[in-house]
Amino acid sequence: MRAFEAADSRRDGIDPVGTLEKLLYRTREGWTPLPAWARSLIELGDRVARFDSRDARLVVALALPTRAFAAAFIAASVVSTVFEMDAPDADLEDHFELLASLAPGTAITHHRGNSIQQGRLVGVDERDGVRRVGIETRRMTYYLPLEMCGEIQVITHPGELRMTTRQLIRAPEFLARALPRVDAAAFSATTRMDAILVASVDPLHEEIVTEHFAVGLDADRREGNLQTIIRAKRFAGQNAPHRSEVVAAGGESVPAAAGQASPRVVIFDGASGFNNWRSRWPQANWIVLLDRSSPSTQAGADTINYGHSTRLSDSDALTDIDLPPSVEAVSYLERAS
Amino acid sequence: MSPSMLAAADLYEVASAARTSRVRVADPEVQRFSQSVTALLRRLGDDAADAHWAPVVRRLRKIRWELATTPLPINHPALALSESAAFVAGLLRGCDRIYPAHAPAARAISEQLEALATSESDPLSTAIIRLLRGDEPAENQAVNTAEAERGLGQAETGRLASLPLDPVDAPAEDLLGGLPETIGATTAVVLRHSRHAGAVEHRLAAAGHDVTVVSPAQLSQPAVYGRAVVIGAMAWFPSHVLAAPKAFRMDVVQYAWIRDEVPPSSIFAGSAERAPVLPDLDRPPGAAPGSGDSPADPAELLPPADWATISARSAPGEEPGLARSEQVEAYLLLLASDEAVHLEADEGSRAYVVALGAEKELRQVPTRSIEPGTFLVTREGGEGDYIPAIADSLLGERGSGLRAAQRRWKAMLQDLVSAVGLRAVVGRLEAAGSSRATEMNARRWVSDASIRTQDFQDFQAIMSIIGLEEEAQALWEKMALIDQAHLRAGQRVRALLNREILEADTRELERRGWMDYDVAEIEGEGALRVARVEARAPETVRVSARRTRRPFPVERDLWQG
Repeated sequence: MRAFEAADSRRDGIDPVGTLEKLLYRTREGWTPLPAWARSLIELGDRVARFDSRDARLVVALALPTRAFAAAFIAASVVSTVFEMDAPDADLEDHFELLASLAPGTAITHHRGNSIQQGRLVGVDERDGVRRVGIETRRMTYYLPLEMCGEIQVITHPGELRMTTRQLIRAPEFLARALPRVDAAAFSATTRMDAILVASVDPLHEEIVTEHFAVGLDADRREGNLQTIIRAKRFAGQNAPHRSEVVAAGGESVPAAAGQASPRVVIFDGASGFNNWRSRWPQANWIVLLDRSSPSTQAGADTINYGHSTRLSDSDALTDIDLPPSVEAVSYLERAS
Repeated sequence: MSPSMLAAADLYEVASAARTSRVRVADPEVQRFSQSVTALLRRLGDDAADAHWAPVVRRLRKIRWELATTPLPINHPALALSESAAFVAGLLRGCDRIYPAHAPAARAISEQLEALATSESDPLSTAIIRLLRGDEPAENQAVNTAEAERGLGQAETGRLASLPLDPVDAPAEDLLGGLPETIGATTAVVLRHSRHAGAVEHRLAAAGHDVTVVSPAQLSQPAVYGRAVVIGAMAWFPSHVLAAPKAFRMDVVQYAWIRDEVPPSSIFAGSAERAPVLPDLDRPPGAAPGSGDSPADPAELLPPADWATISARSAPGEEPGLARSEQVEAYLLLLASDEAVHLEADEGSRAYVVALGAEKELRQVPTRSIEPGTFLVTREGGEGDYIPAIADSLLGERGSGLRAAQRRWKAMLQDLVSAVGLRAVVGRLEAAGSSRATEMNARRWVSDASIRTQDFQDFQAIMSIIGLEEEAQALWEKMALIDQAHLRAGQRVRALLNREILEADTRELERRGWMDYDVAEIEGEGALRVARVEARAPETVRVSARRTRRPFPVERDLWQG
């Protein structure tokens, strides 16, 4: 079992709260840094995203005064942390060789600047002693040398390819300043299911897609939404790169992409989603959010308490996270399957 | 609809800063009545269920419950004690002859009730008024979780009620954090039931206090207040009232003669220990253990619902003539509109509900998941469920012919099930080419609630075994028209409720517990009634399918919540 990595991350000079720390929200007095409860949820998301074990999953349950925005903050933190921990291959030579090894016709995205388009690999071409990866898009065929091959990313679940060009990031400055340590273009151009949110879709959509947030001051301020970071497939355009998915808590089935995924973290926003779908992702870490005012909260707490009674061991995942006194929390490790 | 980021921040601010205290109100008059009710119930024992006593007992329990939970003068017209005194006296008139052993106790309680009906005593609202005036000891300003309490004697409350009233004290500035004073100055009075909300608001307004009376369900919403005064024992309230406080200052006002058990603050085993928000109450202040002045059990005061009698009220006398195939298992729900409704309990049954909490939305949910606090969409007036009724209206003149065709094949299938049994029918369906013939699906196909199968192959098999194979295609197309009309009816309902509820001010709906919404665009279908589910029978009941989804009135004495 790999040890819990929060301490390691601090040793490496990575401050978990640094993620999203520049986000502002609008108060009666104007734009203000996020309140302490939101920062603590972001830190929790970072902490849980770093837990990795083949044998155990980390379960963290919170009883909150309101469920509003909790899943959204945690998801943003999980997605950005996992990207930082496991960014697309920084070693261009390895990435070039990976692309070269794939069959012609493999679906890819090609991003440059703030635009992205989909296409297919056409193979490796060598001219004048320089190897180039060939890609075919709607407009033309490109041959990109090793130093530019980072612009190409393989699409994991290609679905129906649409050879169109679209804006890669709707609010590029907002994203770049909200996640200063992340390559915004690579983050936005690649697809991987790092987090799944099991939630009531409409309220979550409002929290994630509405521009509740900003970075920067006065004239330099850029407003944006958490979808820019969370990149939930359900709220993104068709075939858009994504890094998470939202599953309807009361739905009768799970979208295929989410059902086949092995996310690092599943965030259950409410008891009904937790009780309906928790067995679907047994390898993932779980964060369970219960609204103290919801009638179904006790049913969720009962499930958590049963899990706690059969736990592998206690967990220190919540140590040093400054959750507000109105939040009750518990964490433990469960056998992963 | 989700609360804004600012509203969420306010909720955390309030929940972290809230201070809770308890005020215990001593009132010998109401206490004596409660003790007499308890004594009579013990004396009656099993006789309490007798037809002679049952209506008396129900009415006495209702009166006690309302007196314990409603901050109004005892003789307030809303409580209708004069009418109740006459009702009880009338029922007990023959008691000397029928139950001579119980007659003295019955006479005594009847006289007590008559005296109460003329009492101007107003202990609970007097206590609220004192609190709102800031007339309280210094220790009541104590910190979070510390109990600060006192007794208010009858004479004292009577005297204070006549004093000139000061303006409401807003919580101290340092408590408010980033919230504006406009929120700090707001006061909510939380009643266990909303039946007398209007009267209580008027009573306190007449005393110079502009308060909002809310139900516990309303406290699950994002609104925050400067102060909330909760009336009654905390054992009667959902745990979130104190565990997720919506006011900087929470005052629990309750009779001192009622014991209280405060729900635990923690819901997770293994979480860090949390101090109780308030201690439990074992005995009245000043009463020594074993002094004989034993407090009332809050659970005993809770009015029970007579589920069997309520269920039978839905269609008296209808049961015997019904065929077995028309019987379904159903949940029985009590609604805030003084009605009850049966909802089918089978796995696929769903109903529209409106969520008015932090997640304001309209959704279709399995009937098994509908719990107290949910707002259920039902039909007011007319026969049967609202979706088929609206669908028929959309079908126009074709409707009656299509429904006749539907009834025809359903009746033939129901007859076959009655004749050979469900298992044999499944076997015949399989033999006829149905790939989804299971007992559960067959039960659904027999039901009037299902219009047609998902797949034509299964429909064709049904038609084959009931002798309508030649008409299978034509009937399939007719059922498709009904199916489409149901879909459109659902869309109409969604559009209407979205406009009327989700995009509008719902405070009146939340306070009152129910409202009707006219379906103006669909002539002759009456209204949709959205009503809060107040209680749910612990077990399902077997009723005629025709009785489901049709709210029926319930007498207040059968259900007193």
